[in-house]
Amino acid sequence: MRAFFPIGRGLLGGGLGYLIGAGMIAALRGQGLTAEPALAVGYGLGLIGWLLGVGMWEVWVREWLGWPVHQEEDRSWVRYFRFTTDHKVIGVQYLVTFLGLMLVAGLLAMLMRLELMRPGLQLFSRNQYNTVMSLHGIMMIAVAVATIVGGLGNYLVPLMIGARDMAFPRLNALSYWLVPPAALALLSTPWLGGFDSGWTAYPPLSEANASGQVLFNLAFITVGLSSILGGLNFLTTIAFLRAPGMTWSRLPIFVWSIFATSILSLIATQFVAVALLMVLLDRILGTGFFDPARGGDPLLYQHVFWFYSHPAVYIMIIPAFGVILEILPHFARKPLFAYRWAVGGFFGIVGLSFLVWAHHMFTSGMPSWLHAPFMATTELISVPTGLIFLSALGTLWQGRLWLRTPMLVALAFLANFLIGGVTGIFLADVPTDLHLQDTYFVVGHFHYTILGGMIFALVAGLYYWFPKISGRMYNERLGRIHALWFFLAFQATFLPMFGLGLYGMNRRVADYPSYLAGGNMLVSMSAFVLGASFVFLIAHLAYAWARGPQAADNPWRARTLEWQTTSPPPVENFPILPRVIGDPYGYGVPGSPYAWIAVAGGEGE
Amino acid sequence: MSALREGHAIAVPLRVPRFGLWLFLLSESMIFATLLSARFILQGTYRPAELNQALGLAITLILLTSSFTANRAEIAIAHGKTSTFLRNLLATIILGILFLIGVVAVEWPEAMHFAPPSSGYGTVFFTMTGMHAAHVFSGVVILSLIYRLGRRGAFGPGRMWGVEGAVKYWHFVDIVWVFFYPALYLVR
Amino acid sequence: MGGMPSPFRIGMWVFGGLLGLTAMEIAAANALPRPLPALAVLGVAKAGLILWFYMHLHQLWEEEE
Repeated sequence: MRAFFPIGRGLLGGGLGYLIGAGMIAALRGQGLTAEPALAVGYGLGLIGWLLGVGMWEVWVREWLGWPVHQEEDRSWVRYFRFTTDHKVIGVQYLVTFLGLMLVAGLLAMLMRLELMRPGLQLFSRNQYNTVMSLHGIMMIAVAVATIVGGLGNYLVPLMIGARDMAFPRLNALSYWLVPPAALALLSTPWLGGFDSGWTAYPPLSEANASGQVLFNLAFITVGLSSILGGLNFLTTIAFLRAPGMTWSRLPIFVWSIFATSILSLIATQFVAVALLMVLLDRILGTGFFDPARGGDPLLYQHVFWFYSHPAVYIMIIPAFGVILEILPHFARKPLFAYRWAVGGFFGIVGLSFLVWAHHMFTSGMPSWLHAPFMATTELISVPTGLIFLSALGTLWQGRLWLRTPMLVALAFLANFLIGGVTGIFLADVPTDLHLQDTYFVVGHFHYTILGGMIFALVAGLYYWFPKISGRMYNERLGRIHALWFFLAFQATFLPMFGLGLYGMNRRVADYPSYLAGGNMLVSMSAFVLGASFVFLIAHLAYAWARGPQAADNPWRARTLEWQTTSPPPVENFPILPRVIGDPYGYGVPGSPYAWIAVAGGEGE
Repeated sequence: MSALREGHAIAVPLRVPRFGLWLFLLSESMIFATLLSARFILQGTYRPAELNQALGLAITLILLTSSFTANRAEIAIAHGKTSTFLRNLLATIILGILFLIGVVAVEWPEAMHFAPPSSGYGTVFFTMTGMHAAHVFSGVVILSLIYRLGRRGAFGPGRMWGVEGAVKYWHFVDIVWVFFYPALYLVR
Repeated sequence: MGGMPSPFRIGMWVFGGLLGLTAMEIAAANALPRPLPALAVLGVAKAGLILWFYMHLHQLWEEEE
């Protein structure tokens, strides 16, 4: 029971904070504890109470008052339930939390497919369906933004650059512990009438619907704050804590992808926070940002929102590219092709991603002279993306492919992303987009890039780094079965969506004309098979973590630094910091060592 | 592990937290840039004639002066002059509180009459001044914590990151007002 | 006053500059028909003074003292 003491104290602090904040406002305004102003203030104080209770008080805040801080150094599993500052613990906390959220959001997707199996309304009312759809959307967005960066990134970046920890370990812990209250807030929205405005929360709907919207906005802002602090931490860590000899051109490509992503999350996330805050102010204080009757403009929301949310899709996909480019050379036993061009591709995407936002708004009624420039910039972004894709293909070219599970999933990623990228062109082109906007063609497209891209990369990365993180090996045969199952079920689910969209199936609706019944039945059936593959994946990995055979320190014979320490690594990562002297991907290149590692007195590659 | 972690924390050169703070300020500035753009997008350069110009100028001068005293406090502690440091820091805190009183207790009730939050100009006026005042408030809290630590002798030459960071944040809040003041009170 | 270390003096000059620029802002707002461009330039100048002299932006690319 002692293990859950900090979390219990955090819940107590959060509850007290909420009661104080909401109670104060409720008393002042003579409303209930869940009226919107009370909700907002209560959430703010509750968040502070939660953080103090869960461990910030004794690990951090006491220092601001000039008192000694206490940090319990518990090496047992208990540390996973505490305000622990070890980046490896935080990485696992992120991974487990977000994989759990992914399962919940996946369950919501199953409910949606159950509803859409047949025309007409079966399971839900229209509002309930929209709340389920919105919850699925925002939770999966959070999963896509945070699982690779927060989970794999936290665990691996310090290891890969030969550092002992992140630059700001306590800030790192804070970024993680901001997530549970946001998840709790999202999951409690159905008791406040839900929110039916999708994850994009466009006004005027988001200013007129049930109070669940307020919790949605607050939770989104909280996750955004966590993402900003994480980005800040990664940038500083990569800039200053690299091991001796780890020059910028010797960084593993995954580290570069996290670096590029961190620039985006640091700069862009504030915009969505402001947009959501403006909606809150409109609702709670009666300001008129998005209400034309009060001097506002609903289109302003869409501009500010997409100014973040388009870069956000690159926050999701750039780390995915990083994972894939990291895996390919190790399993093709070849140097990474066009390393510098791939890094350039990352930064090309970062730069261009700020110039493309209005391609989400071709049908919104914005001035039509904006259409052509945004179409041009959007299509331009396929150039840096193409560089990265060609780097992947060039690495495979004439390689000796070692088809273990991570490699299989990585190859599936390339196929999926190709389809996702090509279908994107039709949405970037104004003439076709005018017809495809808000149909299942769009749903198919972004699931090919996010599920087929980011989640496939996450799964590939999970298999690849599982032996390092857990110290155990998964079952190769089960892994390969899962890879095939996952890939086929994914295609069967999302490929028909393009056809449905072309035939006029609208997104975000609980019902559709009966001539679309056949395709929807196929999609629903495949979706259930796809959903089961995720349960299989989690069960397999959980079993392997508990019962799997002991893993070697470097089962993939990889060259990068994280494999040159024990599995799992010791608290300080490397007993003696490594010295980097060569290229991380020099496979098959004679006389090309990467790093000197002092292990128990010996020296090795 | 604890010893190792602590040793790591001390061995980290000052440029690491400095860089982190600059990144944080860069990120924060995006909030204010968005609000500033929203002001011009929604309201153009419209400004109600009833704005209290004397008060606007007064709080601007108060905030500029507080940056001046904050700078003196930082220099003083770098030279080991603890009493000058504390005096200037206290002046900065008091000026910050005066600014807050000027905005929240004087300017807001006046503006409620001619530009309530539900009006076009009131929307941007109250949001911008409110967001800025929230940052001033947090700055006052941080400076007060630094003052408390400073009285206990926590800072001196070579061990003053807390002072440097807090003062940088305070200057940042001042820079925001450098842009907000003309945007709200002076444009036509 | 003469015995003051020079950083204090720089701080004072910068403060004087900030006050002067503020005065120019008010003059511009009252004299010009469309003061926005002038105000933008003056605001950037003020922010630059604070960034450079009060926040020591140059520390970012200087070697540690």
